[in-house]
Amino acid sequence: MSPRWTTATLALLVLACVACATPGGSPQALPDIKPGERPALDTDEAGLWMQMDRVEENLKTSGRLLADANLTAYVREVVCKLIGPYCPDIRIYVVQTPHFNASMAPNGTMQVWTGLILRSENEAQLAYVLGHEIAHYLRRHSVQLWRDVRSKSTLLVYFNVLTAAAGLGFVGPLANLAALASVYAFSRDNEREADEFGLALIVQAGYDPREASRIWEALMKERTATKDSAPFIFFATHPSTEERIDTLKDLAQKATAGAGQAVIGRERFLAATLPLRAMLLRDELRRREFGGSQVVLDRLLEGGVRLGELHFFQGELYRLRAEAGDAAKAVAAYEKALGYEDAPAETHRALGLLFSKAGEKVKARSAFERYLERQPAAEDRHMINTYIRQLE
Amino acid sequence: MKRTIAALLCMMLGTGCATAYSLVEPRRAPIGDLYTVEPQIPWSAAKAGKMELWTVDGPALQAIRFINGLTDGDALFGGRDKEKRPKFRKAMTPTEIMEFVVDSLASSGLQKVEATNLRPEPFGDVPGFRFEMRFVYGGGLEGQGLVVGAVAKEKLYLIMYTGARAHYYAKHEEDVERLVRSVRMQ
Repeated sequence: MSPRWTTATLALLVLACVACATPGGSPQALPDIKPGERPALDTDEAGLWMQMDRVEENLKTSGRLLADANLTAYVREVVCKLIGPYCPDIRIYVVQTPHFNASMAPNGTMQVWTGLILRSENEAQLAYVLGHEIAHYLRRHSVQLWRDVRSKSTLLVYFNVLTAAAGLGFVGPLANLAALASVYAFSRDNEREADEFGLALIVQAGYDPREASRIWEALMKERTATKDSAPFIFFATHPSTEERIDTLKDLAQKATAGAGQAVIGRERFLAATLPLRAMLLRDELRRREFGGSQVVLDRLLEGGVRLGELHFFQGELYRLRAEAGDAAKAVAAYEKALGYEDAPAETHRALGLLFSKAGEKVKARSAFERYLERQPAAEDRHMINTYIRQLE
Repeated sequence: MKRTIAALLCMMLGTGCATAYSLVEPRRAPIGDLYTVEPQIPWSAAKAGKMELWTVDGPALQAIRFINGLTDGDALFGGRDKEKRPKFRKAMTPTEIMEFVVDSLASSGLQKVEATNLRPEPFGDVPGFRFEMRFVYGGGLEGQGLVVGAVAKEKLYLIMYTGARAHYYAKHEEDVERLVRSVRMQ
């Protein structure tokens, strides 16, 4: 074998060693956390908890925290249905941010982002996402990932020194890349396990498991519409959405075979979340991700609840997007909203502004007057009266 | 250009970046090229692009931001994604300008931004508007603000006073009210 081939073979072998430093992508299997358990103080896990305790202290006073006792109590109720004995160990924080997310720290801090609330159609869908996060907590994935990263980075230091000493320094960056990919692969395995475990939790709690894949399908549609670049699978911390949908559908089919009536929980979910929906839609439109927001609105419109409010926000989306033809679309959406009793008074004001810009003075004045009829004490009434005078 | 962006980010976030401040004496001073104001107390001032910031205790606690002549398509603050920033349009009504300011502040990291009490108010001798704001800083401190402004020659001019509700906003609120009343077109 030529010296060139020997070097290359050696490089590949050591590279493979780094990537497989932890057989099966898992450092050391840990038993599930027990109810009420805290790690021993002399462990790295306790250190991780301490860090998370600090994060939680900051979260308690964060400006992003949504102090809505009803919604927080509702989320807690769902969590407790899923994992009764662990319920006292989990603190729930609803975070006002319009992106789809929930997270669970190893110390029992659960964050639920309002973007997830807006994108869930029912309690079963919300329960699935919460169940997925709870699975990370129960299976102690954070500490496993922490140990995986630490062992691979320690090994890399030795590896880089040895390869440099052997004149194979060029292998270093490749080894770093392989180790990083291996960490991501480990993370993906954790996510797959959490998907499966989360689904088992909702089945056990009596929810319809078919709802799990539906929320991912909606998310995939939204991602396509926002034209956000999908993460390269090699480095993605989560499995691809397509893979998750297929797996969840398969698991749900097995779980529902021969099962009785499963709960979807649409009414309970709406009772807890509808009072906040207008605020969440306003937050959603502030993202200026109009393609994705349209998908979110389409799903809500299909749901058919409070259509006046939804058509108003459809009009708001067009007005804010302000592309060619959007003003006319906005007017049509606002007028459609007014066909429903729950259309907000602001619908008239928005119409007044659009008619005013289009030079339709009579219609504009009439719309502003209707706004003031419905909201005689509106905080902006002096400004609206000025608009009306300017239209005379 | 990079220096301007960095200074803008510091002014926007109210962080302790090493922004170069100069002293503004309590006498009539020009703001941009449209108008002058007469402060009653000394302020520390920094300029970046179309924004001038005055503060006494630091921008994280209280600040006046003079926005000088945004043109059609301009954003109030910088940010990572240019496409997603709220933009000023010259045809905006005061209602839409209030929405533009609120959405801009929300996208800059302030939380729970709400504006109230929009009403007409002359800006110097130009027809203008005024509204108040409530918000929460990222760390959880409650904030308060007032905004006065006008569109003149298709450009947007704003005086935005913001501060922590606990002490710092009220500390110079009256000084700011006098400063707003002192606006005189050049």
